[in-house]
Amino acid sequence: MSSLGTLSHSYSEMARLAETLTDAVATLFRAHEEGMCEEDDRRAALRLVPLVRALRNQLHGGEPDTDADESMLPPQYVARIREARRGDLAYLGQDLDELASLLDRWEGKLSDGAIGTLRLVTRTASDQAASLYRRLRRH
Amino acid sequence: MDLSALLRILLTDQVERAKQYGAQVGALAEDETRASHRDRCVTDIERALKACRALLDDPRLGTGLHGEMQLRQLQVEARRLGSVAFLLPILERFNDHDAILTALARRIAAEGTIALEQPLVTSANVGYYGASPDLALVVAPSLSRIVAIEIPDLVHELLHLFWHGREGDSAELLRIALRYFRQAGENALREDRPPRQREAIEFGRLSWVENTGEPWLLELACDAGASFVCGPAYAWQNLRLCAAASEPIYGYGAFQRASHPPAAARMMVMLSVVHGLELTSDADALGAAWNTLLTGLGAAKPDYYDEYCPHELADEVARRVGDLCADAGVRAFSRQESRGVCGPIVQICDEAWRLFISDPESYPEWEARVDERLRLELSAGTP
Repeated sequence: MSSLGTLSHSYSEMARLAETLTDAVATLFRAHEEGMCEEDDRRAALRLVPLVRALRNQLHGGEPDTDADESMLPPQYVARIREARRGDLAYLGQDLDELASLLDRWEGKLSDGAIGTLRLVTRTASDQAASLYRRLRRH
Repeated sequence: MDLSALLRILLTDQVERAKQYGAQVGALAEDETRASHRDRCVTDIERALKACRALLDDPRLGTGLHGEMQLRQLQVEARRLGSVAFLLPILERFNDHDAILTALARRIAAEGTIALEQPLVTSANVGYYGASPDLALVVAPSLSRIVAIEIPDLVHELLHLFWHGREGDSAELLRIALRYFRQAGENALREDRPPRQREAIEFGRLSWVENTGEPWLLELACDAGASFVCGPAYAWQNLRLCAAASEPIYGYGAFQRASHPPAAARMMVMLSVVHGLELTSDADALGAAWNTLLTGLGAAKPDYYDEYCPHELADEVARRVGDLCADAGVRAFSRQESRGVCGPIVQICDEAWRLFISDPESYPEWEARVDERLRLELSAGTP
Protein backbone atom coordinates (compact mmCIF):
# COMPACT_ATOMS: atom_id res chain seq x y z
CA MET A 1 0.00 0.00 0.00
CA SER A 2 1.30 3.45 -0.83
CA SER A 3 1.24 6.39 1.48
CA LEU A 4 -1.52 8.50 -0.01
CA GLY A 5 -0.65 11.60 2.05
CA THR A 6 3.02 11.60 1.15
CA LEU A 7 2.31 10.82 -2.48
CA SER A 8 -0.20 13.64 -2.69
CA HIS A 9 2.27 16.05 -1.10
CA SER A 10 4.99 15.04 -3.56
CA TYR A 11 2.61 15.27 -6.50
CA SER A 12 1.47 18.71 -5.60
CA GLU A 13 5.05 19.95 -5.22
CA MET A 14 6.01 18.47 -8.58
CA ALA A 15 2.85 19.70 -10.31
CA ARG A 16 3.55 23.24 -9.15
CA LEU A 17 7.13 23.04 -10.42
CA ALA A 18 6.00 21.57 -13.75
CA GLU A 19 3.41 24.30 -14.20
CA THR A 20 5.86 27.09 -13.35
CA LEU A 21 8.46 25.73 -15.74
CA THR A 22 6.03 24.97 -18.57
CA ASP A 23 4.41 28.40 -18.48
CA ALA A 24 7.69 30.28 -18.23
CA VAL A 25 9.43 28.23 -20.92
CA ALA A 26 6.44 28.55 -23.28
CA THR A 27 6.64 32.33 -22.86
CA LEU A 28 10.38 32.38 -23.50
CA PHE A 29 10.14 30.16 -26.58
CA ARG A 30 7.47 32.46 -27.99
CA ALA A 31 9.59 35.52 -27.28
CA HIS A 32 12.64 33.85 -28.83
CA GLU A 33 10.83 32.94 -32.04
CA GLU A 34 9.34 36.39 -32.38
CA GLY A 35 12.56 38.14 -31.33
CA MET A 36 10.69 40.09 -28.67
CA CYS A 37 11.90 41.40 -25.34
CA GLU A 38 8.84 42.53 -23.42
CA GLU A 39 8.30 43.01 -19.72
CA ASP A 40 6.22 39.81 -19.35
CA ASP A 41 8.98 37.80 -21.00
CA ARG A 42 11.61 39.33 -18.76
CA ARG A 43 9.49 38.41 -15.72
CA ALA A 44 9.21 34.83 -16.97
CA ALA A 45 12.98 34.69 -17.43
CA LEU A 46 13.64 36.09 -13.97
CA ARG A 47 11.18 33.65 -12.41
CA LEU A 48 13.35 30.82 -13.67
CA VAL A 49 16.69 32.14 -12.44
CA PRO A 50 16.41 30.98 -8.79
CA LEU A 51 15.12 27.59 -9.93
CA VAL A 52 18.00 27.08 -12.32
CA ARG A 53 20.51 28.16 -9.66
CA ALA A 54 18.91 25.91 -7.04
CA LEU A 55 19.09 22.99 -9.46
CA ARG A 56 22.73 23.67 -10.15
CA ASN A 57 23.52 23.80 -6.43
CA GLN A 58 21.55 20.72 -5.56
CA LEU A 59 22.98 18.74 -8.47
CA HIS A 60 26.50 19.44 -7.44
CA GLY A 61 26.26 19.91 -3.71
CA GLY A 62 23.40 17.48 -3.19
CA GLU A 63 21.86 19.96 -0.77
CA PRO A 64 20.74 23.55 -1.19
CA ASP A 65 22.66 26.23 0.60
CA THR A 66 20.47 26.89 3.62
CA ASP A 67 21.73 30.45 3.91
CA ALA A 68 20.82 31.36 0.36
CA ASP A 69 17.30 32.46 -0.33
CA GLU A 70 16.45 29.69 -2.72
CA SER A 71 13.80 27.08 -2.85
CA MET A 72 14.60 23.44 -2.33
CA LEU A 73 13.65 21.50 -5.43
CA PRO A 74 12.04 18.10 -4.85
CA PRO A 75 14.98 15.71 -4.29
CA GLN A 76 13.51 13.09 -6.62
CA TYR A 77 13.40 15.69 -9.41
CA VAL A 78 17.07 16.49 -8.93
CA ALA A 79 17.84 12.77 -8.84
CA ARG A 80 16.02 12.24 -12.16
CA ILE A 81 17.97 15.04 -13.84
CA ARG A 82 21.20 13.64 -12.44
CA GLU A 83 20.26 10.25 -13.85
CA ALA A 84 19.42 11.71 -17.26
CA ARG A 85 22.80 13.42 -17.51
CA ARG A 86 24.88 10.96 -15.51
CA GLY A 87 27.67 10.91 -18.09
CA ASP A 88 28.17 14.65 -18.38
CA LEU A 89 27.11 16.23 -15.10
CA ALA A 90 29.98 18.69 -15.16
CA TYR A 91 28.80 19.99 -18.54
CA LEU A 92 25.26 20.25 -17.25
CA GLY A 93 26.54 22.41 -14.39
CA GLN A 94 28.15 24.69 -16.96
CA ASP A 95 24.97 24.72 -19.07
CA LEU A 96 22.91 25.69 -16.04
CA ASP A 97 25.31 28.49 -15.14
CA GLU A 98 25.12 29.83 -18.69
CA LEU A 99 21.34 29.52 -18.71
CA ALA A 100 20.98 31.36 -15.39
CA SER A 101 23.16 34.16 -16.63
CA LEU A 102 21.32 34.41 -19.98
CA LEU A 103 17.95 34.54 -18.18
CA ASP A 104 19.23 37.05 -15.68
CA ARG A 105 20.10 39.51 -18.47
CA TRP A 106 17.23 38.49 -20.75
CA GLU A 107 17.47 40.06 -24.20
CA GLY A 108 14.84 38.06 -26.07
CA LYS A 109 17.09 35.35 -27.55
CA LEU A 110 17.96 31.83 -26.47
CA SER A 111 21.00 29.88 -27.58
CA ASP A 112 20.57 26.29 -28.84
CA GLY A 113 22.20 25.08 -25.63
CA ALA A 114 19.76 27.09 -23.51
CA ILE A 115 16.80 25.68 -25.44
CA GLY A 116 18.07 22.14 -24.83
CA THR A 117 18.59 22.76 -21.12
CA LEU A 118 15.16 24.37 -20.74
CA ARG A 119 13.60 21.39 -22.47
CA LEU A 120 15.40 18.95 -20.19
CA VAL A 121 14.36 20.66 -16.95
CA THR A 122 10.76 21.12 -18.11
CA ARG A 123 10.30 17.62 -19.54
CA THR A 124 11.68 16.04 -16.39
CA ALA A 125 9.31 17.97 -14.12
CA SER A 126 6.35 17.44 -16.42
CA ASP A 127 6.95 13.69 -16.78
CA GLN A 128 7.43 13.26 -13.05
CA ALA A 129 4.26 15.19 -12.27
CA ALA A 130 2.39 12.96 -14.73
CA SER A 131 3.83 9.81 -13.18
CA LEU A 132 2.96 10.85 -9.61
CA TYR A 133 -0.49 11.93 -10.71
CA ARG A 134 -1.20 8.50 -12.19
CA ARG A 135 -0.10 6.75 -9.00
CA LEU A 136 -2.06 9.14 -6.82
CA ARG A 137 -5.36 8.98 -8.63
CA ARG A 138 -5.22 5.22 -9.03
CA HIS A 139 -5.01 4.87 -5.28
CA MET B 1 -2.67 14.62 -38.70
CA ASP B 2 -0.21 17.32 -37.67
CA LEU B 3 0.45 18.46 -34.10
CA SER B 4 -1.68 21.54 -34.53
CA ALA B 5 -4.75 19.48 -35.47
CA LEU B 6 -4.12 16.98 -32.69
CA LEU B 7 -3.76 19.72 -30.11
CA ARG B 8 -6.98 21.32 -31.32
CA ILE B 9 -8.90 18.08 -30.75
CA LEU B 10 -7.36 17.45 -27.32
CA LEU B 11 -7.92 21.01 -26.15
CA THR B 12 -11.51 20.99 -27.33
CA ASP B 13 -12.03 17.81 -25.34
CA GLN B 14 -10.73 19.53 -22.18
CA VAL B 15 -12.95 22.55 -22.78
CA GLU B 16 -16.01 20.31 -23.04
CA ARG B 17 -15.01 18.44 -19.89
CA ALA B 18 -14.58 21.69 -18.03
CA LYS B 19 -18.05 22.82 -19.09
CA GLN B 20 -19.55 19.53 -17.95
CA TYR B 21 -17.83 19.69 -14.56
CA GLY B 22 -18.95 23.30 -14.22
CA ALA B 23 -22.56 22.17 -14.66
CA GLN B 24 -22.09 19.44 -12.03
CA VAL B 25 -20.64 21.90 -9.52
CA GLY B 26 -23.50 24.27 -10.23
CA ALA B 27 -25.99 21.52 -9.38
CA LEU B 28 -24.44 20.85 -5.94
CA ALA B 29 -26.53 21.88 -2.98
CA GLU B 30 -24.95 24.86 -1.27
CA ASP B 31 -23.79 24.32 2.27
CA GLU B 32 -21.07 25.77 4.42
CA THR B 33 -19.18 22.52 4.99
CA ARG B 34 -18.51 21.90 1.32
CA ALA B 35 -18.17 25.56 0.34
CA SER B 36 -14.37 25.77 0.21
CA HIS B 37 -14.06 22.59 -1.87
CA ARG B 38 -16.82 23.73 -4.16
CA ASP B 39 -15.02 27.06 -4.65
CA ARG B 40 -11.79 25.19 -5.32
CA CYS B 41 -13.52 23.26 -8.13
CA VAL B 42 -14.96 26.45 -9.61
CA THR B 43 -11.54 28.14 -9.58
CA ASP B 44 -9.81 25.14 -11.16
CA ILE B 45 -12.46 24.81 -13.86
CA GLU B 46 -12.20 28.50 -14.72
CA ARG B 47 -8.39 28.36 -14.85
CA ALA B 48 -8.43 25.31 -17.10
CA LEU B 49 -11.06 26.81 -19.39
CA LYS B 50 -9.12 30.05 -19.71
CA ALA B 51 -5.82 28.29 -20.42
CA CYS B 52 -7.28 25.85 -22.97
CA ARG B 53 -9.17 28.58 -24.79
CA ALA B 54 -6.06 30.76 -24.93
CA LEU B 55 -4.14 27.89 -26.50
CA LEU B 56 -6.93 27.23 -28.99
CA ASP B 57 -6.84 30.90 -29.99
CA ASP B 58 -3.08 30.90 -30.46
CA PRO B 59 -2.21 31.09 -34.17
CA ARG B 60 1.08 29.29 -33.45
CA LEU B 61 -0.68 26.24 -32.06
CA GLY B 62 1.52 23.18 -32.58
CA THR B 63 4.17 24.98 -34.60
CA GLY B 64 7.92 25.47 -34.19
CA LEU B 65 9.24 25.43 -30.66
CA HIS B 66 5.73 25.87 -29.26
CA GLY B 67 4.28 22.43 -29.90
CA GLU B 68 5.89 20.53 -27.06
CA MET B 69 5.28 23.22 -24.44
CA GLN B 70 1.66 23.52 -25.57
CA LEU B 71 1.23 19.78 -25.17
CA ARG B 72 2.71 20.02 -21.69
CA GLN B 73 0.43 22.96 -20.87
CA LEU B 74 -2.49 20.80 -22.00
CA GLN B 75 -1.29 18.09 -19.58
CA VAL B 76 -1.21 20.60 -16.72
CA GLU B 77 -4.83 21.54 -17.42
CA ALA B 78 -5.91 17.93 -17.92
CA ARG B 79 -4.49 17.05 -14.49
CA ARG B 80 -6.18 20.07 -12.97
CA LEU B 81 -9.52 18.94 -14.38
CA GLY B 82 -8.75 15.35 -13.42
CA SER B 83 -8.52 16.44 -9.79
CA VAL B 84 -11.88 18.18 -10.11
CA ALA B 85 -13.31 14.97 -11.56
CA PHE B 86 -11.89 13.09 -8.55
CA LEU B 87 -13.40 15.49 -6.04
CA LEU B 88 -16.83 15.94 -7.64
CA PRO B 89 -18.37 12.55 -6.76
CA ILE B 90 -17.12 12.96 -3.18
CA LEU B 91 -18.93 16.28 -2.98
CA GLU B 92 -22.02 14.84 -4.65
CA ARG B 93 -22.39 11.89 -2.28
CA PHE B 94 -21.37 13.77 0.88
CA ASN B 95 -23.58 12.36 3.65
CA ASP B 96 -24.35 12.87 7.35
CA HIS B 97 -21.52 10.61 8.46
CA ASP B 98 -19.05 12.56 6.28
CA ALA B 99 -20.39 15.77 7.80
CA ILE B 100 -19.77 14.50 11.35
CA LEU B 101 -16.25 13.29 10.53
CA THR B 102 -15.52 16.60 8.82
CA ALA B 103 -16.77 18.51 11.86
CA LEU B 104 -14.62 16.27 14.09
CA ALA B 105 -11.50 16.96 12.00
CA ARG B 106 -12.14 20.68 11.96
CA ARG B 107 -12.73 20.71 15.71
CA ILE B 108 -9.44 18.89 16.34
CA ALA B 109 -7.65 21.44 14.15
CA ALA B 110 -9.34 24.36 15.90
CA GLU B 111 -8.70 23.05 19.43
CA GLY B 112 -5.08 22.25 18.61
CA THR B 113 -4.64 25.56 16.71
CA ILE B 114 -3.31 23.55 13.78
CA ALA B 115 -3.34 25.96 10.85
CA LEU B 116 -4.50 24.13 7.74
CA GLU B 117 -6.88 24.47 4.85
CA GLN B 118 -10.39 23.47 6.00
CA PRO B 119 -10.39 19.71 5.49
CA LEU B 120 -13.21 17.67 4.08
CA VAL B 121 -13.50 14.10 5.34
CA THR B 122 -15.08 11.44 3.22
CA SER B 123 -15.88 8.05 4.65
CA ALA B 124 -14.97 5.22 2.37
CA ASN B 125 -15.40 1.51 2.47
CA VAL B 126 -11.78 0.92 3.41
CA GLY B 127 -10.18 -0.01 6.69
CA TYR B 128 -7.63 2.77 6.88
CA TYR B 129 -7.23 6.52 7.00
CA GLY B 130 -5.59 8.49 4.22
CA ALA B 131 -5.12 12.08 3.13
CA SER B 132 -4.86 13.89 -0.15
CA PRO B 133 -3.45 17.24 0.95
CA ASP B 134 -3.45 18.52 -2.64
CA LEU B 135 -7.26 18.51 -2.33
CA ALA B 136 -7.50 19.20 1.44
CA LEU B 137 -9.21 15.84 1.65
CA VAL B 138 -9.09 13.08 4.26
CA VAL B 139 -10.38 9.57 3.65
CA ALA B 140 -11.68 7.74 6.73
CA PRO B 141 -13.05 4.24 7.19
CA SER B 142 -16.78 4.00 6.95
CA LEU B 143 -17.68 3.43 10.59
CA SER B 144 -21.03 3.29 12.29
CA ARG B 145 -19.57 5.05 15.34
CA ILE B 146 -16.70 7.28 16.44
CA VAL B 147 -13.97 5.08 17.89
CA ALA B 148 -12.18 7.25 20.44
CA ILE B 149 -8.94 5.24 20.53
CA GLU B 150 -8.60 5.56 16.73
CA ILE B 151 -9.01 9.33 16.55
CA PRO B 152 -5.19 9.80 16.61
CA ASP B 153 -5.12 8.23 13.12
CA LEU B 154 -7.30 11.08 11.92
CA VAL B 155 -4.90 13.53 13.55
CA HIS B 156 -2.01 11.96 11.61
CA GLU B 157 -3.86 12.67 8.35
CA LEU B 158 -4.48 16.26 9.41
CA LEU B 159 -0.75 16.60 9.90
CA HIS B 160 -0.28 15.70 6.22
CA LEU B 161 -2.41 18.75 5.41
CA PHE B 162 -0.47 20.83 7.91
CA TRP B 163 2.96 20.05 6.43
CA HIS B 164 1.58 20.48 2.95
CA GLY B 165 0.79 24.08 3.81
CA ARG B 166 4.28 24.62 5.23
CA GLU B 167 6.57 23.90 2.34
CA GLY B 168 9.58 25.61 3.90
CA ASP B 169 9.31 23.49 7.03
CA SER B 170 9.03 20.20 5.20
CA ALA B 171 12.02 21.21 3.03
CA GLU B 172 13.99 21.94 6.19
CA LEU B 173 13.22 18.49 7.56
CA LEU B 174 14.36 16.92 4.30
CA ARG B 175 17.59 18.89 4.53
CA ILE B 176 18.21 17.55 8.04
CA ALA B 177 17.99 13.99 6.74
CA LEU B 178 20.09 14.76 3.65
CA ARG B 179 22.81 16.29 5.79
CA TYR B 180 22.76 13.38 8.23
CA PHE B 181 23.14 10.68 5.57
CA ARG B 182 25.75 12.63 3.65
CA GLN B 183 27.84 12.96 6.77
CA ALA B 184 27.33 9.30 7.66
CA GLY B 185 28.35 8.32 4.11
CA GLU B 186 31.52 10.43 4.28
CA ASN B 187 32.43 8.96 7.67
CA ALA B 188 31.87 5.41 6.42
CA LEU B 189 34.09 6.06 3.41
CA ARG B 190 36.83 7.64 5.49
CA GLU B 191 36.74 4.78 7.99
CA ASP B 192 36.74 2.22 5.18
CA ARG B 193 33.57 0.50 6.37
CA PRO B 194 32.28 -2.54 4.41
CA PRO B 195 30.57 -1.74 1.10
CA ARG B 196 27.22 -3.20 2.30
CA GLN B 197 27.23 -0.82 5.23
CA ARG B 198 27.85 2.13 2.93
CA GLU B 199 25.08 0.92 0.65
CA ALA B 200 22.73 0.76 3.64
CA ILE B 201 23.49 4.43 4.41
CA GLU B 202 22.73 5.30 0.79
CA PHE B 203 19.53 3.26 1.03
CA GLY B 204 18.63 5.38 4.08
CA ARG B 205 19.14 8.60 2.13
CA LEU B 206 17.06 7.36 -0.78
CA SER B 207 14.26 6.11 1.48
CA TRP B 208 14.04 9.11 3.77
CA VAL B 209 14.48 11.79 1.15
CA GLU B 210 13.64 10.59 -2.38
CA ASN B 211 11.76 7.31 -2.49
CA THR B 212 9.96 8.20 -5.75
CA GLY B 213 7.22 10.34 -4.31
CA GLU B 214 6.97 8.72 -0.90
CA PRO B 215 9.87 9.96 1.21
CA TRP B 216 9.75 8.33 4.64
CA LEU B 217 10.62 11.60 6.25
CA LEU B 218 7.22 13.14 5.51
CA GLU B 219 5.43 10.16 7.03
CA LEU B 220 7.67 10.36 10.10
CA ALA B 221 7.06 14.12 10.37
CA CYS B 222 3.32 13.39 10.48
CA ASP B 223 3.89 10.74 13.16
CA ALA B 224 5.93 13.18 15.19
CA GLY B 225 3.35 15.94 14.70
CA ALA B 226 0.46 13.67 15.66
CA SER B 227 2.36 12.65 18.81
CA PHE B 228 2.99 16.30 19.60
CA VAL B 229 -0.75 17.01 19.35
CA CYS B 230 -2.18 13.80 20.89
CA GLY B 231 0.57 12.80 23.32
CA PRO B 232 0.99 9.10 24.07
CA ALA B 233 -2.41 8.17 22.60
CA TYR B 234 -0.96 8.27 19.09
CA ALA B 235 1.86 5.86 19.93
CA TRP B 236 -0.53 3.52 21.72
CA GLN B 237 -2.73 3.42 18.65
CA ASN B 238 0.34 2.69 16.51
CA LEU B 239 1.25 -0.18 18.83
CA ARG B 240 -2.29 -1.53 18.55
CA LEU B 241 -2.13 -1.36 14.74
CA CYS B 242 1.29 -3.00 14.63
CA ALA B 243 0.12 -5.84 16.86
CA ALA B 244 -2.83 -6.49 14.57
CA ALA B 245 -1.17 -5.91 11.18
CA SER B 246 1.11 -8.41 9.56
CA GLU B 247 3.83 -6.08 8.19
CA PRO B 248 7.25 -6.89 9.66
CA ILE B 249 7.96 -4.42 12.49
CA TYR B 250 11.46 -3.67 11.15
CA GLY B 251 10.34 -3.57 7.54
CA TYR B 252 11.74 -5.65 4.73
CA GLY B 253 15.41 -4.97 5.23
CA ALA B 254 17.86 -2.73 3.47
CA PHE B 255 17.83 -2.44 -0.30
CA GLN B 256 14.13 -3.28 -0.63
CA ARG B 257 12.04 -0.25 -1.45
CA ALA B 258 9.04 0.34 0.83
CA SER B 259 6.46 3.12 0.69
CA HIS B 260 6.29 3.43 4.50
CA PRO B 261 9.06 3.61 7.04
CA PRO B 262 9.33 0.51 9.23
CA ALA B 263 6.91 0.54 12.16
CA ALA B 264 9.87 0.41 14.54
CA ALA B 265 11.29 3.63 13.10
CA ARG B 266 7.91 5.27 13.46
CA MET B 267 7.65 4.19 17.08
CA MET B 268 11.17 5.50 17.70
CA VAL B 269 10.06 8.97 16.56
CA MET B 270 6.83 8.82 18.58
CA LEU B 271 8.61 7.81 21.77
CA SER B 272 11.10 10.58 21.26
CA VAL B 273 8.27 13.13 21.02
CA VAL B 274 6.53 11.73 24.12
CA HIS B 275 9.83 12.07 26.00
CA GLY B 276 10.14 15.63 24.66
CA LEU B 277 6.70 16.41 26.08
CA GLU B 278 8.15 15.36 29.45
CA LEU B 279 5.67 12.53 29.83
CA THR B 280 8.40 10.23 31.06
CA SER B 281 6.28 7.60 32.79
CA ASP B 282 4.04 7.38 29.68
CA ALA B 283 7.11 6.97 27.48
CA ASP B 284 8.47 4.28 29.80
CA ALA B 285 5.16 2.38 29.80
CA LEU B 286 4.96 2.63 26.01
CA GLY B 287 8.57 1.54 25.58
CA ALA B 288 8.01 -1.48 27.82
CA ALA B 289 4.83 -2.49 25.98
CA TRP B 290 6.60 -2.05 22.65
CA ASN B 291 9.50 -4.26 23.75
CA THR B 292 7.02 -6.88 24.91
CA LEU B 293 5.40 -6.83 21.48
CA LEU B 294 8.78 -7.11 19.72
CA THR B 295 9.78 -10.05 21.89
CA GLY B 296 6.38 -11.67 21.47
CA LEU B 297 6.64 -11.41 17.70
CA GLY B 298 10.24 -12.54 17.69
CA ALA B 299 11.05 -9.42 15.65
CA ALA B 300 14.74 -9.03 14.80
CA LYS B 301 16.50 -6.10 13.19
CA PRO B 302 17.64 -6.82 9.63
CA ASP B 303 21.31 -6.35 8.85
CA TYR B 304 22.45 -2.73 8.85
CA TYR B 305 19.04 -1.55 10.11
CA ASP B 306 20.63 1.12 12.32
CA GLU B 307 22.46 2.55 9.32
CA TYR B 308 19.27 3.39 7.46
CA CYS B 309 16.99 3.97 10.46
CA PRO B 310 19.37 5.73 12.85
CA HIS B 311 18.12 6.56 16.32
CA GLU B 312 20.04 9.82 16.31
CA LEU B 313 18.23 11.08 13.20
CA ALA B 314 14.83 9.99 14.54
CA ASP B 315 15.51 12.02 17.70
CA GLU B 316 16.63 15.03 15.70
CA VAL B 317 13.52 14.91 13.48
CA ALA B 318 11.27 14.52 16.54
CA ARG B 319 12.91 17.51 18.21
CA ARG B 320 12.75 19.70 15.13
CA VAL B 321 9.12 18.78 14.42
CA GLY B 322 8.27 19.82 17.97
CA ASP B 323 10.00 23.17 17.44
CA LEU B 324 8.35 23.76 14.07
CA CYS B 325 4.90 22.87 15.42
CA ALA B 326 5.40 25.15 18.42
CA ASP B 327 6.60 27.98 16.15
CA ALA B 328 3.50 27.52 14.03
CA GLY B 329 1.33 27.88 17.12
CA VAL B 330 0.24 24.24 17.31
CA ARG B 331 -0.82 23.33 20.84
CA ALA B 332 1.42 20.68 22.40
CA PHE B 333 -0.31 17.90 24.29
CA SER B 334 -0.47 18.43 28.01
CA ARG B 335 -2.62 16.22 30.18
CA GLN B 336 -5.52 18.02 31.80
CA GLU B 337 -7.77 17.08 34.64
CA SER B 338 -10.40 14.61 33.47
CA ARG B 339 -13.62 16.03 32.15
CA GLY B 340 -14.97 12.65 31.16
CA VAL B 341 -16.46 12.65 27.70
CA CYS B 342 -16.74 16.46 27.54
CA GLY B 343 -13.20 17.74 27.15
CA PRO B 344 -11.15 18.66 24.10
CA ILE B 345 -10.85 15.80 21.61
CA VAL B 346 -7.19 15.01 22.31
CA GLN B 347 -7.94 14.78 26.04
CA ILE B 348 -10.78 12.37 25.25
CA CYS B 349 -8.31 10.27 23.20
CA ASP B 350 -5.85 10.29 26.07
CA GLU B 351 -8.51 9.26 28.54
CA ALA B 352 -9.80 6.62 26.12
CA TRP B 353 -6.37 5.03 25.94
CA ARG B 354 -5.76 5.10 29.66
CA LEU B 355 -9.10 3.42 30.24
CA PHE B 356 -8.55 0.96 27.41
CA ILE B 357 -5.27 -0.16 28.97
CA SER B 358 -6.36 -0.18 32.60
CA ASP B 359 -9.88 -1.54 32.20
CA PRO B 360 -10.53 -2.85 28.67
CA GLU B 361 -13.82 -4.48 29.70
CA SER B 362 -15.46 -1.24 30.71
CA TYR B 363 -14.02 0.71 27.78
CA PRO B 364 -16.73 -0.13 25.18
CA GLU B 365 -19.47 1.37 27.30
CA TRP B 366 -17.44 4.54 27.83
CA GLU B 367 -16.70 4.71 24.10
CA ALA B 368 -20.41 4.46 23.31
CA ARG B 369 -21.04 7.48 25.53
CA VAL B 370 -18.26 9.41 23.77
CA ASP B 371 -19.74 8.51 20.41
CA GLU B 372 -23.22 9.60 21.43
CA ARG B 373 -22.04 12.86 22.95
CA LEU B 374 -19.70 13.79 20.10
CA ARG B 375 -22.26 12.99 17.42
CA LEU B 376 -24.76 15.20 19.15
CA GLU B 377 -22.31 18.07 19.52
CA LEU B 378 -20.79 17.78 16.06
CA SER B 379 -24.08 17.48 14.21
CA ALA B 380 -25.40 20.50 16.10
CA GLY B 381 -22.22 22.44 15.34
CA THR B 382 -21.47 22.86 19.07
CA PRO B 383 -17.82 23.76 19.59
